[in-house]
Amino acid sequence: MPLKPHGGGAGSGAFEYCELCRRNHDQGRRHRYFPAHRAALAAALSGFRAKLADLRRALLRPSAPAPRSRLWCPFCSADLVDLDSRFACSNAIYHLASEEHLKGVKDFLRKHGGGMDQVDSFRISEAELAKWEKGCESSSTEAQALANGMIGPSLRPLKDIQNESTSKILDSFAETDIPSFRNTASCVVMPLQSPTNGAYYPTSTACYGSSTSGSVAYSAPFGTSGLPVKPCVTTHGHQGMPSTNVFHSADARMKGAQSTSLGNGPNPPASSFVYVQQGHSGGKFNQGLKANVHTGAPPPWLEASEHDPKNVSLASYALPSSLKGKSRKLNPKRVGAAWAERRRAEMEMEKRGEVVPETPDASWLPNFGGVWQSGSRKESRKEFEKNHKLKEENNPELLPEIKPYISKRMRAGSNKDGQPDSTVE
Amino acid sequence: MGSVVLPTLRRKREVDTAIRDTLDKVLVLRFGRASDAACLQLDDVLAKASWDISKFATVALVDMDSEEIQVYVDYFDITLVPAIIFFFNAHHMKMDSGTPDHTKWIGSFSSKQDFIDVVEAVFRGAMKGKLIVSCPLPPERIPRFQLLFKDV
Repeated sequence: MPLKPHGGGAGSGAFEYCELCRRNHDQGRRHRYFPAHRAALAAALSGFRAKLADLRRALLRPSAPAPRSRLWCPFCSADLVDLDSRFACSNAIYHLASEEHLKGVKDFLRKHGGGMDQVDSFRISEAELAKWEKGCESSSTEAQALANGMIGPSLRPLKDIQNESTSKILDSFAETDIPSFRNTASCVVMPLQSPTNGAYYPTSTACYGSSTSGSVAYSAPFGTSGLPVKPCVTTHGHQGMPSTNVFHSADARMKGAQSTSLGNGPNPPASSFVYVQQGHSGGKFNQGLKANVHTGAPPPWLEASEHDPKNVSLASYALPSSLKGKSRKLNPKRVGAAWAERRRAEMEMEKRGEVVPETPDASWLPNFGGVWQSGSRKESRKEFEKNHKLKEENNPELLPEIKPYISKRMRAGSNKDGQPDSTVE
Repeated sequence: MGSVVLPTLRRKREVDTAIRDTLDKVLVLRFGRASDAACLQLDDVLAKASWDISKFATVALVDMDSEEIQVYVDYFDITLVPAIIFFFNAHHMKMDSGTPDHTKWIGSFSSKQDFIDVVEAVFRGAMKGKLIVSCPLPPERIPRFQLLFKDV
């Protein structure tokens, strides 16, 4: 046995299994201070943090596609499966906000060492959960309004349909999952009637993926879903023409999801109705046929350039370098790498319209190295800003001081008389 | 000629945007006025070379006489025109060309190839994480000037 015989202390003679190091040891409590254990713990925690960061992104945008379909919670030893396409990662989010997860995290950290102050970084707070739920509600109510009550309060009718189309595969599928997942699973599995369960999944996910990515050809998945309504498909083709990627927002996705599911459902008339309606609302969304290439409307890039010609032209200058594939082979130690990554992410978000473009305030200045070799570049900027401010502060101060001196007596006299200063002087 | 082809920045906001949004490329900012003879010659060189270096550099002209640009003129301490300042990922790049001022390139370039060489040296240095690079040009092709320090 490579382990040293422990010298009394807190350790007990019994062997126990450490799931982080994946080995048995008889070191007792001392084991968690071993370098191997600490390294394993750090790796596990950082891995989970990275996953949680993905999840937080989903938390901000409930209707966006799920960053990951399953999440292993090392604290509770639970596999959180999320195949619900309605709101990304809802199962995982509910778990991470739950009390049992909090308890699990605390137990885990107590058992394996690691600061208890990190507890909050491994869970989702109540406030965040409430905010997310609100976001989910708003987007689902929007979708309901668009569906005009055909789909109704989403979960219950879907469940009814599920009960109608009883499939044994579905039941077995639901049994394999965590109970809290059951409600949400019905949304995805609902449209399936035939036992080609596994074969359908890729197409459904492809449908959502393509519709959310805002590609022009998002009518293609509707074609694959086998809809009987021909003319609607043609209108779709028209609406696809104006390249308004911005408008392919959560609502469009929601509509797409619902109409697709109904199209596969057992009720063809209903599906056609919803589909027609979706076509109309989509037209309203994209300004219909007005802003179309066929009607001779100005292309979107010209419209955009009217706002701020210089910015746009410069942005377009800068864009070719900000291609995603290129950044992988760039030297991570290059000048301003951190800045470039951050700014690129910001620009992506701005382009997608998620974040309002943050305009730098008028006093923003880049770092600039002075003529001296010593000192950092930030220092020279700070120094300049200090001098600049001094100058600006001095100027307004100088102006009032130039006024001629008026003695207190004179001022008092003028006030008493209630006459303007000119007569006093 | 050059000021027609290249974007001319006249507002501080435009300069800010150019510096902030040029990522992983060298930003060449030329401070000067289009009426100046040396500036005209430099603009010509820049305009001719801007396409060749467009994969790793962006060239923009800054009009020194604009009201809003005076902050940058003060900040970069630009007294001689034309002056060229290099940026990479919003970081200022210095160049040691044997002249008193490393922070900027003052004067024109004798040929288009000289300018391309200088920008390439800046880019290569920046990609290696260097904030200061040495000038690849032979000293006789580097314009000379005398720098007088005001408050030293």
